[in-house]
Amino acid sequence: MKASFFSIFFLFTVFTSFSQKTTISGFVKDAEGSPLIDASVFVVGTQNVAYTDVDGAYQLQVTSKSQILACKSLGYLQQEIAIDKNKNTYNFSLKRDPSFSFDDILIVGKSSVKQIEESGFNAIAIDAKPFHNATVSMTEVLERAPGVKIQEAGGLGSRTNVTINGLSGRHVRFFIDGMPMDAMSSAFQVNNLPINLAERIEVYKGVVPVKFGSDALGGAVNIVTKKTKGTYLDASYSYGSFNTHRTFVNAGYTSKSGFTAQLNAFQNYSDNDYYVDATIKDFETNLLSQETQRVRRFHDVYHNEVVIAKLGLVNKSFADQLLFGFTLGHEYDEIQHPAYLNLAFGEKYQTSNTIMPSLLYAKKDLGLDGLDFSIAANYNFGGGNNYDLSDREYNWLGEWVISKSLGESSYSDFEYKDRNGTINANLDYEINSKNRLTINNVSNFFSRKGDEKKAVDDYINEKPRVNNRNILGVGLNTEFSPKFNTSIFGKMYSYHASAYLNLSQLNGIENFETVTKDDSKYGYGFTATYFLKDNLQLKANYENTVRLPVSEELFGAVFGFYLANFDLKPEISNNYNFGVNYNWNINEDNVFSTDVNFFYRRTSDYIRLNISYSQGEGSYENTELVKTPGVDLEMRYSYKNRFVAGVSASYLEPKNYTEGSTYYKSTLPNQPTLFGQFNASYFVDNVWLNQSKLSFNYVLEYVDAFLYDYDAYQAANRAEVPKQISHNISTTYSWKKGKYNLSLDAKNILDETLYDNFSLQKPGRSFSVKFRYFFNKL
Amino acid sequence: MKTPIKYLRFAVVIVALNFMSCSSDDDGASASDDDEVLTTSKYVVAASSGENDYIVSGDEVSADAVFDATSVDAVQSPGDRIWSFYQDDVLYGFLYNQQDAGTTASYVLNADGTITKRNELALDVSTHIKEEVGDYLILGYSDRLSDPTVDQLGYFHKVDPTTDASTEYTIVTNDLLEEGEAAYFTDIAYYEDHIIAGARSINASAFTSDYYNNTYVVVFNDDFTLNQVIKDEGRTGFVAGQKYSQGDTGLEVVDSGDLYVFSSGQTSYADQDLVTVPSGILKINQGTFEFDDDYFFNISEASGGYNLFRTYYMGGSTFIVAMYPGTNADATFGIDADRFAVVDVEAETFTWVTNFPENALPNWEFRTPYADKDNGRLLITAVPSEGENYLYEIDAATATATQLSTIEAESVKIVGKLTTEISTEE
Repeated sequence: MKASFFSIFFLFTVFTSFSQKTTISGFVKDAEGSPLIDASVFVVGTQNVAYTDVDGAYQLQVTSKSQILACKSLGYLQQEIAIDKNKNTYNFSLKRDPSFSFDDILIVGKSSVKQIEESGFNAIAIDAKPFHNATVSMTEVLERAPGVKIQEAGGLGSRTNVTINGLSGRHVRFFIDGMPMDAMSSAFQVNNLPINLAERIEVYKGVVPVKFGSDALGGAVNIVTKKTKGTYLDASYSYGSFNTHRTFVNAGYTSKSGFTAQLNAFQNYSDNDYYVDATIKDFETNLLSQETQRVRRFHDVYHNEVVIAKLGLVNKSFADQLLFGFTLGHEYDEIQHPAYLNLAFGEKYQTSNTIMPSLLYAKKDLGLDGLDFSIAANYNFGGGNNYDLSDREYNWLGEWVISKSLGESSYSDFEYKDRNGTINANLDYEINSKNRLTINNVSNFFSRKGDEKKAVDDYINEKPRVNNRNILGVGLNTEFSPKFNTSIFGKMYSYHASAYLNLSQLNGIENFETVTKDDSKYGYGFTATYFLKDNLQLKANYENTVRLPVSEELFGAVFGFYLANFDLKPEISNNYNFGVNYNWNINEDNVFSTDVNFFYRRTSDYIRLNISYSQGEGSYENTELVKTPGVDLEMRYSYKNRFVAGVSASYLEPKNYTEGSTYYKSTLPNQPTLFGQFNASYFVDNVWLNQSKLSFNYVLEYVDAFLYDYDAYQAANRAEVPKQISHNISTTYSWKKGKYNLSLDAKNILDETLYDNFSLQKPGRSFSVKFRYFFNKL
Repeated sequence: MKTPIKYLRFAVVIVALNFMSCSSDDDGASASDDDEVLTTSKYVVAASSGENDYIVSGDEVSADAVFDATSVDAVQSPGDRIWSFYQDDVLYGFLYNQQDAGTTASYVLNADGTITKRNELALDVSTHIKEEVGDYLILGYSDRLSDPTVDQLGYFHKVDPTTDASTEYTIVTNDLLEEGEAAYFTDIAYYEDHIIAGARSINASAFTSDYYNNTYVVVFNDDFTLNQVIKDEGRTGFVAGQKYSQGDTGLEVVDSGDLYVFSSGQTSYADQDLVTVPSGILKINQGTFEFDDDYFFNISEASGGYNLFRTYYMGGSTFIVAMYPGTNADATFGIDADRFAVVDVEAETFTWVTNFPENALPNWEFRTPYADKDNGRLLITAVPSEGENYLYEIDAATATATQLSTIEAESVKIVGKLTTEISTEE
């Protein structure tokens, strides 16, 4: 397999083109001389395009045949310049489009967003900027991507499961600026990051680019943080139902000499005291009420606080970027109930923290033209605690009695300490104008030491659990023509894990030993994209990918009671995607675009948690074969910059193909198979104040009913998560060119009973208000 | 597929009703105007899809009958549970939330032959012991010295099977059996109007002890305060055959009123080399609260070196027992306890059961069999080959096993019977 991959690889490198190319560059400014960010500069009649950075600067390679260079930016009139063979610098000064009042609020994402979506990957990039004024979470925005489904266990900060094209949990990996988030503690995860931290969110469905060095089986989410240059301040505060407060501050300064300092600080707090329908325990009889009662959650406070500071140098001869960073995060999470909503806890809680220094070094043309190098590293000294020390038992009315046994779930004062490091090194070499080689290596060192202070027999935590992984990837991107682009890549995955375990769980003898496990696997894939017309794109990609079992799957959870399973094999998935993207400019004012992606996942040795509460434990098992065909559909329409509407829908059929089982060819339980979204926004300029914008937004979310067990089990009383529709509205008023913003949000306005998971009811109707101040001086 | 089952059920109900009216005629001597009380019964199996549990019922367990957990007639019980019957009246499904008790659902048979959930019980701790004791179901759990700085407790839930209401009792187990050690309860029974429990003495959570070769029976007062401890030294070990935390069987009061006490004689995983006593059966004669010094049935010897695991009373002086091989370092603590034998405790005979499949009892400790005394057989579910679940009967008279009904499910937990009263008007 490896040999054949490399022979294909070398074959491709031979496909090089010798047509003459030169690099041109310049600046794009508005009539007042301010730089324009994200303006596109392109050769007319080709797909050859570049986008300006925050300084308004761009670079573009043009061939000797190129004739006319054009520049456009939303809200400005297009400008064209003839290309002169003797000239390498072209500056643009764009005039305002009189039909636009101001351009601060972009509705449709461009530039980087567009680049990603036009790549051969089945990727979606969501421009986060339009959401910065609203009270929305990172996961709510992420859910806008077709094919992505979020399942939350409760309110703010609750356990969140992200499914991409039917694969979820550990099958999906999360990154922040290309760095894996697995090792950053629960204090710093996708369910508690504010949307204002992100410039955009990239979602790679199934096939993941080499630069992420990931063994993600089902896809990856990369949160790209804002990297504004100059001096800036972005501050916002929102207050809403359930006593929810969110604050976000992002300030930065970059001097002309290249010194830069950035500070990000944010806070989320919520009582999460929304109403749920639950059964009430009678302490006299120890019976639960027959009927549920509408009660208020009383022990579900969640808050987290994070500070990210970065200091360094930019645009130096020895480094484009050299940044030293430090992330401090803390999380406090009260646990209101066990796996189902029938019982209530009143005192159990968990905390975690992140203490993480980081380093980033990036240099283009490092010693060799076209050789770009970057290395990023971080090390998390964080950890956490689990406290379950109560001598009471509670019911859903908040009443309590003294309990005869300590602890509400399991008597515990558990502390863990992480020592988790990640080094991501990336080498990008432009072999020639058509071929670009990428080599990436990600090393991840994970070590967790636990201590159950309330148990003398806590042998399992006497030694740390270690899981070190390395993923090496090599990719070659070939642009055969502006219309036809391919990439091929190969990855090598290896890991070494160890834990101190009681082998009696395996063979009946109580015997603690350090157990180790290591393995190496290979994967490969390709992507291709072809523009049939300028506005009609075809995409196809395939990956044979491997996900290595993580230490919890191999050795069991430290917190819980999962058993070790040394026989667990890495999961292998063959991911196929085929997509069509069509943009139809009906006329100057009306633009319509549509995206259809078909996918098929064939996952063997699929790792699932096989919970056996009857034994107080569970273990991770390989499921023989899961096949998931499906389709994602997205359509967008915009009228000038007055109105935008979008609809997305996903349908998938994940089926278990384990031979001889009772659920052979049955749909996997507990995940939505048909879901979608509709959103529409209407913008009015200059209401009340000059240079202001008022917007009205509406979002409808739909999830079809899904079962709590395989559909082969047809019991008349079988549990299902019912079909759900929710309506959300918001309005935002921005004035002084977006310097001041005020928004009002109402979620679940019809107060529907919503569930993402069986029994775990989500919040009803809620309101919030957000004020944001944004200032940027270049 | 669905329709025939429905018709079949309908037919069964008709037949059952006819049968009932016949028996009503037989009892026709009664001239009472009151509603007559008749009963109907069903065999009940709790099985699992691997995700959730299902209760399936049937009128017979013959080889051509199928208990189909995937059918519309099955009753889904969310989660993966441990199951226990209270006589033929109630089926309890215990759902655990990791180590702690979650909730317990009770299921009963209705007059129309359907099974429905009656209540959800929220118990404070998980249970290691579940036994019918008089008119109550007693659920027991013991602390295991994980945190020796606090009092070690034994916890007992006394559940009223008519209402499912329960009361919790505790007893401090420190120094209960031996100074410096704690008691860990392994089985409960009702003897001479007293609740009694089998127990072992432990000095750490790994079940280690300085007193392996003793047998203890704890006698409680009605409020679970200590009445007395009955102790036997040097003949066999603690009451029951334990796998993980579960003891399950070991104390049996037979029809004559005598109490028989069963022990695997095994120690703990940690000290398995220290075993010096055999598996054996002791006896407490009716009306007394001491071990009969003259009675000891050495089961290790009778079986040719095997250990006792579980014991099921079949009436008279007959038991069906499950056995596992190996002593000392070779002891497997019940993991391969899939050899059955018929034991007569009075005659002290031991007969191996033939025809039971090998390696067919995964998760044996939660695979509770049904002692169908009326038919002289033990019903147990087994997996003779991967993915195939069957009911087996072990005939106490012939000591042979026979394969009966097929069970359509990923795994099976329990088999038993539910009976309900049907009121019919004259």
